[in-house]
Amino acid sequence: MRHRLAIFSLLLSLSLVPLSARATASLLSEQEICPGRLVLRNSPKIKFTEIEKSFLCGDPQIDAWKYIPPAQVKFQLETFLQDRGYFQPRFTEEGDELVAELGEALHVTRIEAVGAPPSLDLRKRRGVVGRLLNPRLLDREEKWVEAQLKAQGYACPVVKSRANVLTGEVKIDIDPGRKQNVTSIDVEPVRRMNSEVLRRFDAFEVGKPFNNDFLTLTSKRVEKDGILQSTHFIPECREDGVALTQKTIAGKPRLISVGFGGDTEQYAIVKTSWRHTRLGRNASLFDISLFGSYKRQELDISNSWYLSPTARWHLMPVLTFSHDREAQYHFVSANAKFAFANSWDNQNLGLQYSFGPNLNYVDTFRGAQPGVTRLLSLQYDFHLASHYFEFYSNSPRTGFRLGLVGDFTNKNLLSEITAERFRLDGEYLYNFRGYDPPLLIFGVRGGFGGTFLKKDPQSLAALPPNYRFYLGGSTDLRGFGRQELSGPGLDGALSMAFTSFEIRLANVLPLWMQPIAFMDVGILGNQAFSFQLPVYYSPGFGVRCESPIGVFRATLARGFKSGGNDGVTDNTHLQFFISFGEEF
Amino acid sequence: MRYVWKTLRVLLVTAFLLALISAGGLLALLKWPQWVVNPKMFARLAHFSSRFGAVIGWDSAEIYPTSYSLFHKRFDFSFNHFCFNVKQNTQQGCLQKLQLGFEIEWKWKERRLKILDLGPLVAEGADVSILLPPAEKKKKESLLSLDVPDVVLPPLLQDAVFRNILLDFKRLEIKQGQDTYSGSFQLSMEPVEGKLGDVFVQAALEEGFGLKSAEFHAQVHSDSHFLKNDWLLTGNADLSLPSQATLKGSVKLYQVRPGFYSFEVGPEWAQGPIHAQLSMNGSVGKGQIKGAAGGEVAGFSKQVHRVTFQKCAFDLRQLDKNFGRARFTLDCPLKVGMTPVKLPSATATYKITLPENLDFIAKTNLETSFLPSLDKEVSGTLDLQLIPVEQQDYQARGTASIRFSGVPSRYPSGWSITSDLDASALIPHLQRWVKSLNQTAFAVPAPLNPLEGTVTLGVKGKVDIARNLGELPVVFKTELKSKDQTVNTDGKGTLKYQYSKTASKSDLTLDLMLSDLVLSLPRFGYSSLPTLFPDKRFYNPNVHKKVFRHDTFDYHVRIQTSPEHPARLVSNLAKENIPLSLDLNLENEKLGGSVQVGKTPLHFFRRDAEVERFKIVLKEPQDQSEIRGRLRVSYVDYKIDIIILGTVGRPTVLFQSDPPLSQDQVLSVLIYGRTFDDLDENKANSVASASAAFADKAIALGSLFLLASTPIESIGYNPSTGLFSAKIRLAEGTSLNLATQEGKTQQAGIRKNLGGNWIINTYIQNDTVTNKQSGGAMLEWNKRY
Repeated sequence: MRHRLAIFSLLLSLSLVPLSARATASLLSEQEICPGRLVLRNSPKIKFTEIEKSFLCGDPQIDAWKYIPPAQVKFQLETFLQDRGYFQPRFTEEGDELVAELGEALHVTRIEAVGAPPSLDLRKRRGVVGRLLNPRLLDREEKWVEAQLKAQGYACPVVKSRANVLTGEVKIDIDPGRKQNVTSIDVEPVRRMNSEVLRRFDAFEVGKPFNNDFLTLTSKRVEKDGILQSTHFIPECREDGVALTQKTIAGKPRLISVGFGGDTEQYAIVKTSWRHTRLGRNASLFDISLFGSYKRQELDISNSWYLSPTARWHLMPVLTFSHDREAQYHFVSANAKFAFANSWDNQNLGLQYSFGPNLNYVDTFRGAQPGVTRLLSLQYDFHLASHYFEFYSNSPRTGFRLGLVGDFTNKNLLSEITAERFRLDGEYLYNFRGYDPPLLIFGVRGGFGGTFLKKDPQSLAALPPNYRFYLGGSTDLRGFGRQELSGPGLDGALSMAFTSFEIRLANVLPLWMQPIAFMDVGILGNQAFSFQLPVYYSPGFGVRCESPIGVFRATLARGFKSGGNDGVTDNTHLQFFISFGEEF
Repeated sequence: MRYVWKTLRVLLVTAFLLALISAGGLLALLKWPQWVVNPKMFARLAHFSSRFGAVIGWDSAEIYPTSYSLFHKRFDFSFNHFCFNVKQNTQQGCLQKLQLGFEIEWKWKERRLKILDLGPLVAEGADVSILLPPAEKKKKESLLSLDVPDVVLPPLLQDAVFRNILLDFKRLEIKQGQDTYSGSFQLSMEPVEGKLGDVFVQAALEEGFGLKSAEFHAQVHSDSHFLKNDWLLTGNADLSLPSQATLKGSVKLYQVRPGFYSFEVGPEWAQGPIHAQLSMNGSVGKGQIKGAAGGEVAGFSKQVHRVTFQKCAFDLRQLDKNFGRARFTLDCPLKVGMTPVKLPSATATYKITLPENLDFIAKTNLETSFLPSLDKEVSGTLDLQLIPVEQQDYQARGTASIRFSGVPSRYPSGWSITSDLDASALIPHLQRWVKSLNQTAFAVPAPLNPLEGTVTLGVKGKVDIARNLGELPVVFKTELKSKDQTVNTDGKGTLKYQYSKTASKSDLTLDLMLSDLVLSLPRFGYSSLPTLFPDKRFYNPNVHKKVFRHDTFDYHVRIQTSPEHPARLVSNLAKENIPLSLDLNLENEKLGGSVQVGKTPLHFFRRDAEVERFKIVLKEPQDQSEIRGRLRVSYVDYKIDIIILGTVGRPTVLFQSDPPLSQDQVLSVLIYGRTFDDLDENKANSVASASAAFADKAIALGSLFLLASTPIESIGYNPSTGLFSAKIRLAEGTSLNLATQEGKTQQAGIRKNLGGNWIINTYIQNDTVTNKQSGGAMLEWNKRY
């Protein structure tokens, strides 16, 4: 914990550096902008750029711009002050000196859309009223409206804003144009790659309404995969619909990466990888990655092999060698997996799934019966997520995801035990009244898992740690320590269920602070679909900080158990967590 | 015969007896005139007069005949409430009191009746109404020959002793046709030692002559007591004219010699804010009026508040007796008092005064009717000459020669008024204006304010005033220079105008040739360009934007540079002055035409580059202006052409290279000086973002310029929002990274560039198999190859 706090403190202090530099606006009696020429009086401190100053004070190095007459200074100052929200400065002259009193900065009092389609509700736009009124705000709101319309099928809207400098009222004039469907996609060719392979990343459907957010999501998927360095879509509105042109920047196909760093769980880590992102014309993926930390060392060799350019089906052989040393277990594992994988998207949802055999050797030193365990399992993995959950994954606010992973092993089929493991987990986020930026975000998270195993001690003893379930920690029950709960009298439970409710107040407090309150409830059992009391629950609260370098979360919760005794007396306590990068 | 003689004798005797009786009666009447001159006899006569259509009556009368001798009598009549009505009500009225006295004597030696004493003559409380037949138009049009009869006492009265005369018409009404004149009139005279003294006339007009009201006071004086024609008329009048105008003044008139009079008048006229005061003296002869005038007219407008003139010689001369034509000439120096121009200060908190006055000479020579008549043709010329003004601030000269002819009452039908206008103004030293205007809201802005030299504006041409139509050639020229700048222009054009009460319109066409133009641009550094003009999206509802009225004024200004001498811009970003060919059309607040940058070397993308051509065809709105440009950036291994097409708002930037490179390669070379393959991860992403932004036409020309001028650390582009951003060196380049590995991990975090291939990667990682989540920070080195 102390280590985590140290890292947090370091990162927090780094993130707050810009804050300390941001001086709080204070009313100065006099601020001399150009000595003897221009002074601001009874005004907040204003910083002008060097170029702005040359337009206000003149540039002694250029004869033609040495002297700026007062009227021109006034004109330029008024223009520059617009950027800072001052629209009615008062000017006086004291000798040759121009004295400006800026008055109060103007803030937005009301925003109204004119000509908006019914689907665009400007009341859902938060954080505008009360904000400093300046050209950037108008730009931003125009862009926001445009983005909203483009997400609703209006591919080529015309949006113009205007603002009343006396009242602070903003009106946005909208000509949304027609709602249109995507009719075609034209891809800029990539050398030695079949252009059609890019369609496997599509988060939209041709023939369905245009949604620019999903085009962006598609681009992000491509770039995340690494198949291309960059890609983006250019929509063109035509009579029959929207024609898309997908621009591509391929970049080199091979990527080597070496990393050193720290982790909240594993402390110092080293990571290297080598990837080839465009193997063959179908742009298959080959990846070798090496991960090393004090607790875990892992070598992954994987390949995603596409047989057809248009198909999303692909073969996914994976070889993994790992060594895990945790407080409750210690083992070496080797996996050889051959999976069939596919993905599917419609206008709203994206589904990824894979299944295939996995041969796993585990040499357990601690946490289960020591010795080598061999498991041949049929693994399956389904992930369903709404596009907007994926779109906002960096700043979660809406949508859902659902994951189901599991495997089957059988003693009669090259496995030393018969076990069936599954885990279903999901998450649903609700943005209260659809505000943007959100005001209140309700989240529900849950998980349900179990391992079917013969009820004999040999099988239980041979069951490797990664077939067991633990609760506790920032991912499920936040009132308990990480994986502190292992079930009544067990070294890891065989069934698990938990749910978490969370409410987050977003974009209200300064300094990116977002307070949260939550309640986690969970239960463990000694066999699949069978749960034993006690019920664990942990109410708590915390704060989420969305800083420029990542998301910090700090939670304080109290763990309780109810309805039974798990034989552990010291596991109900206050628990403090700090996480970095974690959402929910 | 005897009967005849008898009859004759009887007749003779009868006649003698009758004559004897008549003589006796006459002698008796001469001896005792009261026999017939008495109230009863007058009453009978008055009664008897009614038979002849004259009704005369009075309430009481006193008649006192006095007989000094047989042929020397005096009569004094006094009537109270004397009324008359004669000629069928055409002349009627009453006098409260009518008093008349006179003394006469028959002079046997001179054989004439002599009036020895006249007066008193008193008519008080008169209320008289007279109906006159409609006036016949006088065919003779020579009233201004001032045919004043001699004012001399007739011989009958020259030896008379005068007593007081008072004629007081408290109401006198005269009707003639449709016109009615009413008012009061009083004439009085007090004798001086029995001789005729000054005659005083006082009249007040209540109605008539097109006046609302008028008062006149006059005095006629004669040194010889009117025994000679040596009268002097002095008087003054105060007239109230329709339309709230007033006219008052004094007059002095006397005869210099028979038929030749001298006059002095000093009228003052006021109507609304306009007030005129004139002093004029001259003479009226037979068919001629000439003299000199001076005065001032004030209150025209705020700008021209006063026109004064002195020693204006005029001459009105009758040309033709029959038709009454006359020639009027005027030679008049005018001083136009202009209100000093007050310009608002830079802050508009006070006014700055720039004094101004103009002097003119006006000369006219026109032929008109001798009598001012709106129905007679007027023709002639009016020459206005601006006395050359040569001040330190400006010089100005001008003449206007106006020829006109027409009948005033029919204006503008049949009128011809043309003017030859020739005027020019010169600013000999612009710097004086720069200094004068410096504190004002109309200060000459930088970079023009260091310029020194001359500015000339001239108009020359014909104006058709009658048809309210004009076409004036306009000349505009500047010869200005400063240390680094030159502004030499030569403009020629035409100002056309048409004026009417309902829809006036003028049209300025000017071709302005920029024969030599060198201007300095401000020094730009490696940071974003500031916003130099107010954002038009912000509006103040209380400030109504002036709407340009195309229906009243059109202007078409074409601004060109000559092919041999393009304009040049001096910039710290260019190695040499940037040649600029302009062909601009400024029409009614709309700017059209084209701006073309000629071949010029510059530092672009941190390399030696050359603008091969760059042309903007201006259109409205201005972000729709078309661009066509080609810039060449030379490298050791490549020559890259940047082709800019499309519009200013959404420029399309294409890249070509020799040898051929892909667009991302070209961008990579331009932005980072290396091929895409040699870039680190962060820079490659930046190139990709730039490429996306270029393709999306999201990079404005200004941003392209900054990209080319600034050491780029990283570029970001969000195609969803269309927001483009670039980070320059020394700033922190931050890009967002979101990674998902299928089926295994989800990773979200922030990648922060540390330069080169190094990034710091903060992340959260969920292992969905082990349900482990971890967050961390990694220092990573990445390379694509």
